[in-house]
Amino acid sequence: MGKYVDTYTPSFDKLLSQQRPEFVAQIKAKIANLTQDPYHNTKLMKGQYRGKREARLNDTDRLVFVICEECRHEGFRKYNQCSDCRDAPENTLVIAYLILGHDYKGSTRW
Amino acid sequence: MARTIQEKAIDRLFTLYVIDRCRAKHGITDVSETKMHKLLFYAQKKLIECRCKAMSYSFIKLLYPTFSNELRTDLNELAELGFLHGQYFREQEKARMILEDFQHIFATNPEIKYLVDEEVDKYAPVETNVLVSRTKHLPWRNKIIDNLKNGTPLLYPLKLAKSRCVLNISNEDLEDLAICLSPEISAGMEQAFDEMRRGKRLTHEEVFG
Repeated sequence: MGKYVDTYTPSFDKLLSQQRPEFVAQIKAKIANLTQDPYHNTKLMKGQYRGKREARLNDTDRLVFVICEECRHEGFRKYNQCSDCRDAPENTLVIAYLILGHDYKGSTRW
Repeated sequence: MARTIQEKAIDRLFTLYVIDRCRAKHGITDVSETKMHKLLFYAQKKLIECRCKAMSYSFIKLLYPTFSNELRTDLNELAELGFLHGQYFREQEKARMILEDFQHIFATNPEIKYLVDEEVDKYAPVETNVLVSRTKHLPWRNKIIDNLKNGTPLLYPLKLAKSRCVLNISNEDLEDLAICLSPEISAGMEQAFDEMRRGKRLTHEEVFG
């Protein structure tokens, strides 16, 4: 058991169901690491995705998640606006989305 | 030639920057599409003249009289994604977040920023109809633009080999920017965050069994 409790959006679940078993295993292992220390090797996202974090799965794919504790302490509630904020324990992780490289990576640079 | 996703992201960043500059520096909150085609035309022209590679917009001669199909696509998609609002493009909170979080790109490219600012500051305060008229009378290869046939190419993106300076942007920033400005990612992310906001969450067992 990690220090943090992982929860998931239905959108993430749907995306996960479309992935290859080896990749699902890789994602599961990454999430196991995140439940130990979600700040390690992860970074805050920018722009309209403020208040969320991303963890790299490989060169191209990323996990997007929220740490309830960080959201409250860093004033991210204005960005995340969860209706059940009072009920969620501090150590909750919300694994929200899976960004796949082909959605944002072009073939070449310049 | 079609733009890469990264080129598109940079073009969109500059488009948002120009709209922000119109508001912040000149108090123009709503910028018409016609004016945007002029402002980006002059900015791109200046960058090409100075052999600086940043934006990848192509322009052709049309009725008003400079037009970029890529810019039209970008403006429409930025509006659909909620960065801009209205028929006359008005900057939204999401656009300001992008510009705040990526402002270091402009800070680390002072020459490119200076050239774009100079053109925007020169032409943004000019009434759109006056600007259109001036642009029509702009000398262009022994003619004026208005005398060119509609569809005549005016500006192409500068080739890397011909450039003297290139927009300095890290791969990480480029990827972050592409993620923020990608319609494909935006739709899925918005839905996921909406589920999160409404407290629709699954447990580890429900997802992994």
